[in-house]
Amino acid sequence: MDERDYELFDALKKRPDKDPDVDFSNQLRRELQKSHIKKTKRFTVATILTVPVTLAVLLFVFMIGGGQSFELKNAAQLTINQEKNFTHLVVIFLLLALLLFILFVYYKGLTRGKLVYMTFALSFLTFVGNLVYAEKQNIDEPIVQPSYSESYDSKQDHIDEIQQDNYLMKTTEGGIK
Amino acid sequence: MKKPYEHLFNGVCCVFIDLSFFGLPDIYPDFIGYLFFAYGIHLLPSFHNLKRWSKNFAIILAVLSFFVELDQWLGYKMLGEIGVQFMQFLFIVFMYVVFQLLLHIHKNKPLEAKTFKTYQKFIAFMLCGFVIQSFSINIDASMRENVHFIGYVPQLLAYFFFLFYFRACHKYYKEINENKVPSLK
Repeated sequence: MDERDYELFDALKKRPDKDPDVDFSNQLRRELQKSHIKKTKRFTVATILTVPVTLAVLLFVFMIGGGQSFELKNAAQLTINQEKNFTHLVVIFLLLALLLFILFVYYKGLTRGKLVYMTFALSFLTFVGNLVYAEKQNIDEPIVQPSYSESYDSKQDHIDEIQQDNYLMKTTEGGIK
Repeated sequence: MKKPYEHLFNGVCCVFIDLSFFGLPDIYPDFIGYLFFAYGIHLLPSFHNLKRWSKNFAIILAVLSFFVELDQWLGYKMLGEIGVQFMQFLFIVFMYVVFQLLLHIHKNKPLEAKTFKTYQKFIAFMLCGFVIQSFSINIDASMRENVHFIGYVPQLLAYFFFLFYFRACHKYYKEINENKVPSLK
């Protein structure tokens, strides 16, 4: 009898259509549903926008805490002092963030809405911001390169002036002699 | 035998290509490109409001770009690079409107996917190029040219994407004219 019972029990255990464990399946289902929700909501715009911001804050904290900027002298000889280094980093970071944002919005395939409007507005703001910054910096060299004709004219004027000076000098020398 | 896409493509060519040899002004001036655009949009088979708006936008841009080009020809350089870049931004906005119109026309038609993909890549690359170029003002003079060049590369890519789109549309129109496929109307 025992043997037969055990056999029956084993057969029952192996049966595929046995009743499912109600509690377990409930729990499992709930977990599955939760994970499903998590998976669908993992890549929201908010998280993707907050990740670069958090990275930037961490970078800033590390830079301040370390008391030094990142050494990029071997990579870029142009960056001379720390202040310049920092501005360069900020500019590069802004540029990359903006480019990634634009690429992300259009990769998502949006044709209208706030985000598309934001890409246009932000790119125009960078344009205006750069103009304002350039105006404020007051760079010695002109932003607009002078055209060939202008430079030629100015050169000619310069040459004329020199020749006139020479002529004047000669005449004065002659007068003295 | 109306071919609106040819006119649109001519417009893109004229706006993109700036050829000036031996001190002569630009052979393909931008305002002629915008006039091509206006005519191409006029030929597009649609009665949507976007068509009217984009046509008016093209004419306004033609007038604006004429003054910018005139400024360059006469050598005043009052605006310099700023005017050119501003016109570029307006061109991107204009292309966005044009693509909205094209998407509307090709809705539930065979070329919808192609139009949409071209829209995605074209606007994204154009905006990226514009952003890079707008940053180039504040960069050292030694690096400025390189940054400008880096900005031109995505815009060149966008140009090629539009070229491929034009070829597909051109083929489709040929088939419409030979009555092989139903028309877009």
